[in-house]
Amino acid sequence: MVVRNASLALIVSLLAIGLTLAGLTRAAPLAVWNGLLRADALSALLLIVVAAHGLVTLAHGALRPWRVAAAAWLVGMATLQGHLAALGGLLVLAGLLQDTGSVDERPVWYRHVRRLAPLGVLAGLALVGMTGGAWNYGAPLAGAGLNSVSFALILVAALLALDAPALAGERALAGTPMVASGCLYVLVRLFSLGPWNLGWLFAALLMGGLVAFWAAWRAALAPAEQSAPWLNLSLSGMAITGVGLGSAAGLTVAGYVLLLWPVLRLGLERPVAGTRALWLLSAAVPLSGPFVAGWLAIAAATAGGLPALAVVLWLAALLMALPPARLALAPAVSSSSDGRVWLAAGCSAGLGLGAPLLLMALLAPVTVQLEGGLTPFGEIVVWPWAGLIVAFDTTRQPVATLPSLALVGLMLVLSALCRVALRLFALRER
Amino acid sequence: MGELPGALGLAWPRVILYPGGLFALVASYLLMRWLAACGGEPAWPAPPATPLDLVPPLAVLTLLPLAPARPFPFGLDLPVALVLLEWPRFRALAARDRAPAEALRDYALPLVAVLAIVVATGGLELAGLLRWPEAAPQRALLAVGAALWLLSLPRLLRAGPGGPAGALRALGLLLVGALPLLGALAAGAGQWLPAESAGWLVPPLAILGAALASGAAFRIPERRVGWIGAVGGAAVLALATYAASTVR
Repeated sequence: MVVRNASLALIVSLLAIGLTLAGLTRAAPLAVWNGLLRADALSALLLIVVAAHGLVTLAHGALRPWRVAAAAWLVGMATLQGHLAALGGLLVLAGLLQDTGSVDERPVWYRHVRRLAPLGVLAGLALVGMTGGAWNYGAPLAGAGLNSVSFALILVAALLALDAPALAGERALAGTPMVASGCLYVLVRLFSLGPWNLGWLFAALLMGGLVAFWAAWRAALAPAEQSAPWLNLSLSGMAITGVGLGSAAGLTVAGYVLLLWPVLRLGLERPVAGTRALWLLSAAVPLSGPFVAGWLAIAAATAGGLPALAVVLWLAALLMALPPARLALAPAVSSSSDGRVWLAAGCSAGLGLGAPLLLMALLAPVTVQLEGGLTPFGEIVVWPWAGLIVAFDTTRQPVATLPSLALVGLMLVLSALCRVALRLFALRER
Repeated sequence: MGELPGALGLAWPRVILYPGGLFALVASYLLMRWLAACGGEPAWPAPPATPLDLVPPLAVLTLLPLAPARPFPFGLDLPVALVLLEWPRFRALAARDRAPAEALRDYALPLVAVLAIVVATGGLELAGLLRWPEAAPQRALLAVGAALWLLSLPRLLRAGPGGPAGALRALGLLLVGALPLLGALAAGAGQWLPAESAGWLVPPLAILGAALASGAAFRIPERRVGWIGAVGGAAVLALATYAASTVR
């Protein structure tokens, strides 16, 4: 109990650090010790995401809570490193600390692939440092060492950490979200080194789109109570697609999806079938977190001039909407508490309705600070007082609009009118 | 800050009269009668009418950019409109445990139509459907997109719930398909009709035209719809490639 409480306190403190840094780094990144420790809006976002994953893992009753706290802190501290080797090294340590997962249905070597995936990240980052001669990613010429091999190593490591090879197998496992988030962080961090070439963007788009659609398909086919790992993988695919778009809109998608990930894990990893709150974890419910994530992905792909990708992501969002809805409609089989599901539903509604504020407060600083490495193909702009989210293309023409608050206001008015009308009809029939 | 309450306050004719409210109720009833006459009644039973099912499609109808309704500053786009319109069907779909492949087959044609529309108009906004493009490839794409959208309606509407929510959904899907027709008619009528008169005359014509077209689509055998859809999809790909190659 003491170990569990201490782990909980450590992760909550990590969350507090993340929130504090999000406030401090909104205007500009912070750097100390010649840039060896560096914090910007992206680091703060990842600290929040990793701490949230830690809390969710504890809420699911982790067998070794101290390992969860240690891994969360290692990934969190990795995001604050300016030195490439320290960043990769801390991720490798976090990977080694994590559990190998369940023993079922996987060969032993495969179970170690995900925990060793950060080695690919370390190798990629070391190659960047050795080739360019600058080990601090904030240094002026740090991007000189970035080449296709280092990029490929980092992308493949991220896919391995996310358990993307499971798509070819029979079932996906719960995964190692903290280390996978860390690997995704490194992939996004490459924008700090400079713009990506078209080949890298295309590779990330292709892999991301493929993983998002394929995993959503597997989620829709799997029994609803086993769909959570597929949904997580599909969501991660959307994040990689967002990164591959290489635009401010794409990074907004990646950031939003990273924030949504722990919420889906909380509600769906050990689902309580028959709980109505599960509806709010379905992308089919307007203004829920998954709905906004799907909309952002479709809008970003359209803004980037890739309508075919937008259609693929649309299909993925459609398929992802099915399992939570099926779970919500399934007959209740256990008497276990559904408090976790209601909390996840509340967070999902908060992420959806509060998306304009979230985009402005947490994600806009990320895109502004990484602007030097991004393409101009798409931007998400928010008018928070009107709850309006608009995606603009490269010519600053609006391509998609989500009037969240106006829609909620209108639906409230319509609900009242419908209720009155239905009551009148019922009275007349009586 | 007062922009949002102000806009909602000025939207009451949309909510009560047109294109939501009274118009939506009457038009959806008439549309279902027409579709039933064309052999297009929904195969799924009608669930009891609840605000939960009625409100999302009604919200889309209320916010449709249809003249002569007063403009509303916060418009919708296709993904949001489709999610809201499909809400009654999705609830039924989740309860029925249908294979995901079937759901994908239902939405394949509408999504090809969306692809054509996005390439033609450069975006997903519903208001963009009203802008009849000047370039020929974009015009052809928008026309093919609208035709494919209307062609996809029989499959979508047959495999959906009936009742008031299903009727509002059907009307919403039909009106989305009518928007490009409205844009084309408005562009044509602009030369010989004053703008104010066009605002009153053209929308009913476009809606009527779309309803007749969808009624005709209901009479096409499903297998032939598949073939027409495949040819349309190929045409969309060819036109989209050509349109992309002509962009400077």
